[in-house]
Amino acid sequence: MKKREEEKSYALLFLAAVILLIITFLWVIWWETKTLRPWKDYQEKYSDLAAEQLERRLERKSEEFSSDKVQKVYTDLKQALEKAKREFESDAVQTEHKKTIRKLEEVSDELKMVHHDFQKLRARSLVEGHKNFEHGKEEDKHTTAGLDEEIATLDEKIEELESRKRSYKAEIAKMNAPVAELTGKLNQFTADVDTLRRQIGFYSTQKREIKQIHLPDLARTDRCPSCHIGIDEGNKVSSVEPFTAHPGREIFLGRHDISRFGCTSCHRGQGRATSSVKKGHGDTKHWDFPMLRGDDVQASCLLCHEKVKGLRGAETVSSGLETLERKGCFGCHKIAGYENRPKIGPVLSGLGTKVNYTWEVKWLKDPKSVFPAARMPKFGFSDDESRAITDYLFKLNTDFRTDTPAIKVDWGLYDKGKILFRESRCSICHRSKNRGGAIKDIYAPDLTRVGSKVRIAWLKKWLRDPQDYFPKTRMPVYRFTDEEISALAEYIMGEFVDFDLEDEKFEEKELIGEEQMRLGARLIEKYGCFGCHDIKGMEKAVTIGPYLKKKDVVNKIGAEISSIGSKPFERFDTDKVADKVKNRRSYLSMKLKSPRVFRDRLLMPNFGFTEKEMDGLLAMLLGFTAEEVPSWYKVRDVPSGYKPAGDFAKIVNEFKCLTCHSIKGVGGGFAPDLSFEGSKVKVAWLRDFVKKPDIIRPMLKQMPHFKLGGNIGMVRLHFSDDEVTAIVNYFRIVLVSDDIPDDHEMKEKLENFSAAEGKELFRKKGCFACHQIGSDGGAVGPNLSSVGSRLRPGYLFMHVKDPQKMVPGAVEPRYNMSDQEVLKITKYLVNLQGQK
Amino acid sequence: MIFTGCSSSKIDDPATEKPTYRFSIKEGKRLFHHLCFPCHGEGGKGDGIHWASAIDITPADLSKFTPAESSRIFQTIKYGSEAQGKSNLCPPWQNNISDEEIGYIVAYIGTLK
Repeated sequence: MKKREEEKSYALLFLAAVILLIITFLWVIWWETKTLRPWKDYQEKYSDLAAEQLERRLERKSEEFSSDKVQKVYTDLKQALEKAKREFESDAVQTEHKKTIRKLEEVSDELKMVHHDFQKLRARSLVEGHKNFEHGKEEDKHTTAGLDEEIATLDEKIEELESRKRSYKAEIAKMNAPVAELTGKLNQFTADVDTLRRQIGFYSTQKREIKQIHLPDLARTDRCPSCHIGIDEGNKVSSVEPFTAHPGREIFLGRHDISRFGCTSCHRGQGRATSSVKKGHGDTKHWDFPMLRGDDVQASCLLCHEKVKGLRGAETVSSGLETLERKGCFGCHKIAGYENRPKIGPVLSGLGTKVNYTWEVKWLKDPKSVFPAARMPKFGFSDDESRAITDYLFKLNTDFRTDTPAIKVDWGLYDKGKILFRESRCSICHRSKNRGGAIKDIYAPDLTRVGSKVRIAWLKKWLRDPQDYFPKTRMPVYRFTDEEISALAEYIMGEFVDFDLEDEKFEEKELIGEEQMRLGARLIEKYGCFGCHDIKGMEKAVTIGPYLKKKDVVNKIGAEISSIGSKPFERFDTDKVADKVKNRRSYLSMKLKSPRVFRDRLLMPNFGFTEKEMDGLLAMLLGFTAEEVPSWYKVRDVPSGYKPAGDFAKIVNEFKCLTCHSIKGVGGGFAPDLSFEGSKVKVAWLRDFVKKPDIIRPMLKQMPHFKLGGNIGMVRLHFSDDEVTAIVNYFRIVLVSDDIPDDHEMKEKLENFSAAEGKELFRKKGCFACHQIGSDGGAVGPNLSSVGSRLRPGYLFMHVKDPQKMVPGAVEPRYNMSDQEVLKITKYLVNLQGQK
Repeated sequence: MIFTGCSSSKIDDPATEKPTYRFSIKEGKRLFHHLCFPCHGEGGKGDGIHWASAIDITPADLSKFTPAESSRIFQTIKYGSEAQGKSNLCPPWQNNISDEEIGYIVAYIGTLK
């Protein structure tokens, strides 16, 4: 028979439930206090490490202190102190001391009373003065005058009393002095040890608590320092994570105070998480901004810095942007800030007159097979497709597929052309046969196979006036004569031949078919060639690639997707590669390496990026986010907006000086900056140099080397006399600096200094390690044999005094010499006129 | 099941990455190639192409220094070779670069072989 409900006993069940409850309770306590709070352990360990380090130092200091030498000095001092104390305690000094103190007290009391009287008088005087002002009676005037006299006498008395007080105080101080001084010196010995002991005590009493940085401006709260305790300390306690100090403290934390920027503004990750390492670093699902590792951190520089080029610590992201500009990603992709860039590829409108058909087909199939440094990527066209595209482009100028064979060389002209090629220093920009091409900022085609590429008629027209074919070219107008052009063309066409290509060339011309042309047009539209090249009839076509960065759409869906650095990982096309691509970075990395692997019929070509380029591009792409910071965090780029004016502008436009030189922030970095050249060089020298440039720096440059066949110097351009005058005048008037003292001032300054002493100093400081005078010396800086006739004394003075001020980034050390020493050396250099 | 939540402390498993070290080497390399390589050469062997062959003394071969000599190298860079009793040809760099940067260069020199 079943028991009735009231008679059933649930005691066992309750017991089990209670035990379970107690166990769970205990578990909860353990979980909350230990497991979810790893930072407690870290903080403890850090305190231990810091204390250990301090103990070691304390040991060392104590050892030092107990060393014989230090002990001897210490005991001597102690004895001296004893002696001073005894002297002070001696009866004579004590009585004197007591007397002076009593005198001081008396004077102080008197002063007090006098001050009191003075206040009373002042009060009366003010009242009388007010009465006088109100009523203006005669007797009032007398009263005020009388009061004023009394006040004056009291004033004097106060002065006298105060000076007596001061002298008594001085006497007392003198008597106390020896003891005080010696005590101070003695304390110095033990001061270090005391501080260390105090610091050790500090670490053992540290509270274990969450350390957080609250930044309402940036809508963040970072709790990273709870585990990374020593991150902002200058003193490195350990090199094991998370106890390390921040790398490059000076550069990064020095300029981005942690209390203003926090940690996640740069490093990303989940700043508020404290329950585990993985969560804190944001490596969890659904946190869209995992911590950036290694050089990727530089992606965050783009948040605030409008200009990262040249920014210390942002080298990787800066090189990424350079790659972007060099390879022209904005030709296909829409990127905020790069909407109006000029197209990076050459004009194709006259292609039929410029190149040989076979060469063009080979180029389209694989540009890197023609020369390895080609910017154009590989689209993977088949033979037919390449021919179709070439057909379309050729049809703009001609009806036939034609090739011109390699020329039969006239060796006389060839030799002349060879010399001219060297003199014109074409190799500075153009690479050929693995030499030359030192200027990295601009792109000049590799000439190794150009003889098989172009038609000689076109080449001659080009050499005469490059801007005729390609208005935006960076190549200067050389003003060659007709003979020179023939010679140069003969050399180029004869020297740089690709014999394999020659075998493939057509003998007869072929007609271009309609069908081929239409296929070509379709391919061009599909792959978006007009994004990088100007093609007649397609100037207004719209770029085809997706957005990489969109601005002004903050907090809207479009921005999140459009800005690739903040595009949620779920929206990337990772179906096919899901096993290899786990986060945003690995997707981007795979996309850059093999763009079409994700599905069929993708269009992005293969650029063949190097590892270094990939690192830079990834840092940059991760920085293209939709995030905005308040305007007071931003570092604006204010472009100098310099434009040459007048006749000088015409010269600069024709000869393209700003390709190599820079003036006031505009131009290339290869040749010296001319911003204050007028104050720097002498007019006579400048005039000669412009007409016939000479070699100044034998092996050139303060920064990395490059291997060139011969010496480098300015190209020889044929200026007329008027043009030289225009240049010299412009330099003298516009390109000057107020920082450089003028000749007149320098002449006065240099009068009393001897060049012989300057020569001594030159030797003594070791200047000839880098500079040559005559044949003696090093080749890091310019040869100084005739520097006195080249540079003005004012510039020499400023340069020797502080080289980095005049030439930022100069290797020349700053010796911090006194003005006199600098003037001596300047005098010596000014006298080095060299032979004319 | 209850005790699987107690994770082992990460302190006992120190990371082998040393970010400060990597950064020092990178910066040191950059500074070395800016300031030192003209005389001391690419690998620091004292064969810099910009060194004057006419001068009898050659720049030091930096690849042979041991870590124990790091503080001496630091002093040499900061105060010049003359302060170490050598020639006056390696100038004092203390006015050009900060102590932290000299530290980076010393770290980089330590990696030269």
